[in-house]
Amino acid sequence: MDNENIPTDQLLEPPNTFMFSVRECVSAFQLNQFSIGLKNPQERALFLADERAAMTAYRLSDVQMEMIEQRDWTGLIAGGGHVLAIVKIAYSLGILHHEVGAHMCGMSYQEMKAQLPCESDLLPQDIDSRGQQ
Amino acid sequence: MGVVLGGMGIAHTPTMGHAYDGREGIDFKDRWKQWFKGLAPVKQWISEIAPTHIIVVYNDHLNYFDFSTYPTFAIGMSDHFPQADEGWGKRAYPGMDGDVDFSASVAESLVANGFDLTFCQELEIDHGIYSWLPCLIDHPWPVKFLPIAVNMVMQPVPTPARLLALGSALRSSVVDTADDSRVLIVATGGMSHQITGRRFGLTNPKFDQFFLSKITHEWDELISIPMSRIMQVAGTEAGELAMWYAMRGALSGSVREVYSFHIRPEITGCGVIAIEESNDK
Ligand SMILES: [Fe+2]
Repeated sequence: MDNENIPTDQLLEPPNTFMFSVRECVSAFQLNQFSIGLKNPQERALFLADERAAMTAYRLSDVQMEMIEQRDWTGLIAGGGHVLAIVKIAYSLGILHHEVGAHMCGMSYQEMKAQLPCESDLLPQDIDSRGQQ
Repeated sequence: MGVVLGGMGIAHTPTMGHAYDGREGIDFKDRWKQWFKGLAPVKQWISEIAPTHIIVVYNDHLNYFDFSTYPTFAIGMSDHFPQADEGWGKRAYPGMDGDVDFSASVAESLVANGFDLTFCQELEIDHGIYSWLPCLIDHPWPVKFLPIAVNMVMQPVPTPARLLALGSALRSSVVDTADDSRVLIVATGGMSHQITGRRFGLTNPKFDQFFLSKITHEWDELISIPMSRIMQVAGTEAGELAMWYAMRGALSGSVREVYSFHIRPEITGCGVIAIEESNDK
């Protein structure tokens, strides 16, 4: 492993990994639909002109709106946002998905970039069904 | 009767497209250059086998489908597939043309063989295809496309065995179609990478090389590995590699590997493999 700050452990659990299933899809439906809507240039323009109004139109919760205003990408994804949806908020603001990723790693993109590559060298046969070596 | 010429597996990532276009703010440019150079023999191979149709098994990344209705398997039926705007505006490439008669024949055959796909009339295509397509074929693309979108963004996703069976059904559908189609089957996804959590940026070149070394002749060994195990060692988005089984399932037992290449430009393991049918040429 090249990088001690980015964990390569095999647990697919928060905060190292956020899996997305139909359960998150139901619980964070409005947040994700709002974010996906930003692929549309008109919705991007509305959001950039008045963030609150655009978010209110999708009936986001106060907590979700505050996280978006604070660019708390990790909180949004931990709260059921799909990373591929949440990055559309970032793209609208001219932020690349690498910065969203760095936020989840608790560092700036410049810091994270300096630590790349982040690498595991395990093969599937090296671990058991619980992800233990 | 149609002919399956061969198969290709290839990774995709938005950054691949941006790097190919020379967009500002892209890092590790030299390593991306090596990837594009590594694709040159595949580009040559595709122009030599000259497919009339390319069936692409890929996944959308919330750029066409949203969560209102999410199909597990969907097939593009129309005669034109525009590029999707992923949130940064479209890249300077034309849309992809389809062949409605071919798509309809394939769809009829797939449904008859137990794959009940969602039929899409206005499918727009994201980096799942656009990130590598301009690197491999010069536009305007001289070939008709048939995109098949697989849910890879929301669990539960289809199993490796189901994707292998999809490939087998695709082969039958090509062989059964009446026109003289010469078909290349492409699967795209992976390779090692993860885009959520503190494991963001995780790659596993050793696993990627292992996968590439097995998919042509020892794919049954890969199929038996649970996708969760692959996600554990190679990152959650390595789960997209399950789609490569559909490509392999569409090929016969007598194939040869023409070429493979792998590099990790930054946060995604990028690999490609070209497999040719020995008999059908
Ligand atoms: Fe993908």
